[in-house]
Amino acid sequence: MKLFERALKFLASLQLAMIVMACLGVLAATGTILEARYDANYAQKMVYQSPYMFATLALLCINLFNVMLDRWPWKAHHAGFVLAHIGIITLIVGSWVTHRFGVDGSLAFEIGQANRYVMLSSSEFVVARSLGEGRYDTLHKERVDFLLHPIEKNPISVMVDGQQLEIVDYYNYAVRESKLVQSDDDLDGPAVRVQLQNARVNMSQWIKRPATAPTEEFNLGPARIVLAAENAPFVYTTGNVLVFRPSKTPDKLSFEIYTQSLGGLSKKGLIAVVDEIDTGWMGIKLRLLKYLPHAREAVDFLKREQPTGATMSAIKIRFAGKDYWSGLNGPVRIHDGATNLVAAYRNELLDIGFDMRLEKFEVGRYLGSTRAKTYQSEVNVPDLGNRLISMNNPLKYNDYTFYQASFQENAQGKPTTSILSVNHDPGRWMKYLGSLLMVLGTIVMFYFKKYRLKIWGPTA
Amino acid sequence: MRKVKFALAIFLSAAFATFFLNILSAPSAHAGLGDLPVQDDGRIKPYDTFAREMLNLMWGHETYKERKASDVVFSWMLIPEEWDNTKFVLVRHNGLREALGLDHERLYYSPNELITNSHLSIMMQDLKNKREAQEKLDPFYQSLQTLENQLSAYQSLRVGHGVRVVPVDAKTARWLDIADLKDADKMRFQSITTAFVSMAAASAKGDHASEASSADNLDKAVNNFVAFAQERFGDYAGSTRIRAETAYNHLQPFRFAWILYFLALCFFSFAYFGTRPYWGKIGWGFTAGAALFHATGFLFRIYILERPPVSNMFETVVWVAWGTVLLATVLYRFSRSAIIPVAATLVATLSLILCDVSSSVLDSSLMLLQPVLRDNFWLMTHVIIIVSSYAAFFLAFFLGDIVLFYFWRDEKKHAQKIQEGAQAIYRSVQVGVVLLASGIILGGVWADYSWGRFWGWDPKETWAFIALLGYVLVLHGRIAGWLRHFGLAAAAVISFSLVIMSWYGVNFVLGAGLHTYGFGAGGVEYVAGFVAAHLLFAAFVITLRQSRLRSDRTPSGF
Repeated sequence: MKLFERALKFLASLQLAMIVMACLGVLAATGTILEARYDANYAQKMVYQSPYMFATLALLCINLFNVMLDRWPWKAHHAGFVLAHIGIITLIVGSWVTHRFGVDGSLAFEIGQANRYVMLSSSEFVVARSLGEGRYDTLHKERVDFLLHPIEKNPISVMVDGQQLEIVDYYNYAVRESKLVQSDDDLDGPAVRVQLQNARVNMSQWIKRPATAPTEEFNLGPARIVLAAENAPFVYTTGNVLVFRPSKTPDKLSFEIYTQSLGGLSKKGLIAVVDEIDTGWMGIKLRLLKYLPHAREAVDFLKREQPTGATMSAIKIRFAGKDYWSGLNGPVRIHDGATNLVAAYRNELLDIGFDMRLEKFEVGRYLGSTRAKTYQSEVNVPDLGNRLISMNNPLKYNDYTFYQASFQENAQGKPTTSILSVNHDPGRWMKYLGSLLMVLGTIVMFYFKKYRLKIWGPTA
Repeated sequence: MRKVKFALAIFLSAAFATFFLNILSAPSAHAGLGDLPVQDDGRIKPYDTFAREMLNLMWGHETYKERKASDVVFSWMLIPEEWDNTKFVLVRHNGLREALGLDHERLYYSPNELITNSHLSIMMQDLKNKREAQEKLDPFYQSLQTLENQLSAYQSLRVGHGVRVVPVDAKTARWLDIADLKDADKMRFQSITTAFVSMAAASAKGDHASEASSADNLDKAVNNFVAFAQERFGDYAGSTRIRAETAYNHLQPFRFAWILYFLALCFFSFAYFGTRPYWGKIGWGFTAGAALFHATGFLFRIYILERPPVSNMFETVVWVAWGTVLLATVLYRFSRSAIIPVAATLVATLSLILCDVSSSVLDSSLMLLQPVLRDNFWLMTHVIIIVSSYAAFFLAFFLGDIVLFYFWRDEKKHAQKIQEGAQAIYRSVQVGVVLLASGIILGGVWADYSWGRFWGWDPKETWAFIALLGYVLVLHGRIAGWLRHFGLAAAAVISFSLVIMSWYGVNFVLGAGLHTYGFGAGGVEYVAGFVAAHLLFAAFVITLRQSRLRSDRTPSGF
């Protein structure tokens, strides 16, 4: 019994409060340092939403509750103290309710498009069988968090058609790199990599032609490069044009050069890899750097220790002895024999139950500059009609609140996509009430003599 | 005594009034190029401001060897060959100078030296790659970026680009450059150039009479040019606002404010540390004068930019000085402790000197706001309240310093002063805690209203919260009797490190999070030095006192 009383006394003590507040401070500071080194997501998972944080806050609540109980029966001078402490408890409980039952996601749509799926911050792993014609049959779906539950400890694998599909690697920060490589599949079209060079110009480019298209062309500075099928017709109209086609000679391409100033064909012949030819255009030399009769895109992910704006998280999937990389929200096709699958590592989506359409999006700029001053989305919601959502001016509908968060623009600086932040917060009123009580309580404690706590020192 | 007071008040107000009138009428004598409206960085500003910003970017000060910024920057376009070889481009970062293979002794280099530097193009490519990969830039690359801005600004200015002086029909479109001017506009601008050249030539010869007459001509040419544009576009630049801005530039209200605060500090110190308490009255007179300039500065900034003046580092520092003086006045009215104005004017003087001398770190330019920061009452309220809490903690910090100083000297002899000081610290910390807690919560309310997120553990809010925890701990320690006068003073000094971290550190050291609109770089070594010196001072006095108490056989305690 003695022990129990002493434990209660300790739980109500200022010593414990000091320890808990110090712990809270240290945890929070650690979080900000991690955020500066990595990113907000990392800090959230490792610190702010970690069990340590929950335990500390829970202990703080217990401490606050006990210290109030300890002072029972309350007197007038306890008013501020009780208000402030009840306020803090309400605030913490409200935050927990938000965390546990709230929704915080984002909704992106292009102008003229509708969307009803809110992207959440949690992620899932999905494997589906492709049935053709855009139909899929989901074989497996589970929520994943590779940061908190690394795959080394929580292996994820699915049996598909008697074979194992498993996730074998995870990079939290990775840069996507794609290149063209030799393919064994005759359905893949050819590709060439060419370089144009003179005293002032030096550029190189891959050009890949789908097997089904007769020609594929690319504007490379002063010239147009055309990659044509062996017997595809080419009709010259204008400009400097270079046409490549496969030839009868293995490892060699046939080429035709059309020159603007001469009004037509000026040169033709065969070219092998690494050969150089003089185009006759301003002294530009052309070199064939690489030729792949059948090319496919190979995607690789390179690991990074720290995030940049271009990094994303990615997983490596193994199926039937082959490896496939999939970046977050970039599903991959997996096929082996008759098995055709799509595997996706993606953010979880939440159906909000109605379509929201982006009718119009406007950006206001500061005088004569490209800096955004304001931006707003005009959205259409069934039942409501057209509504305006702008910075600091959200739309509330069906338990959700929609905030203008950001937008994307194309290379010409024309906005294409609006991004809204979508939120549902059942803990909101508790947080507001708690805040109010806390501040009121503190003010009462400090500035109303009648309710003031006795302080050691000259005033006492 | 009453007569003396009255006479003093009359004298001081007359002095300030003359001074103000003098200063305000001075720029209209010869505005020259200064009043020419220029469209730059999303707003319309006088050429005076534009030139000051350019010169500050390039040279690090708003005047070049006692020559006016507008004259210097205009001459880049007139005699570019000369400026190409003048050593006036500031390269502050040691590592960058080393990487460029420049000599170590110099801070300033000529544009030609830099442009022809063989290392530069390779490093610029690196910078470009980093930007494309959207990597965070470290201080080295940030300074490289500054150098890039310096060189590109100079290169466009020397050929008449980048100075947009004539509006076009569409309201928000880009104005026309000097280099793009046509027909009548071009001719009228030519007369500005001619007048400027003859003024510069006369000044070089030392011919004051013809310098004055060509200065008149220059004024006329500029007025002509503006009037011609006004015929077509109405009051296209807001001429009152433009004139207010040149007056603000010229007045330098915050500089006068710190000079007067410093004088006030001297008198308050004589009164407090010495034996002549009535000198404090003179101190309050100077404080009132300083506050007048201080408020004038604020009013100018509010009028010119049409927004509250608390949205970048510079403005918060100015606001802290203001808040401290205001709070000190209130606390003084209640307690009459002479220590309060000493610490307050110390805060005000230091803060405003900092604003005056470190223009490369604390950007004083009149900046526009990011979309999220516009048109929002709660946003501005939360910033003002939080920054005001910093003011209270800053006051407690210097009060703590002074109290610790007395503990170091002799705590028994100065018991009265210590008791007064501790009481003032306690009051300031209380005010600070209430303000900081309300400010953080209002920030939450604003974030909830704008983004749907009451609390998101963003570094800026997290550090404000940590600072709050720190001071709440101090108050609890005081209530429980663990911290007495000594502990309170030491805690006020030590806890202020948390405020510095949340105020300066998050933006300038951590550089992460959503509050990116306040980010900057530089000054880390000075701020760290300031914090370290105070922590050392606190540690020194703590150790000293512990050993004294041990030798006195008194039980140790704070």
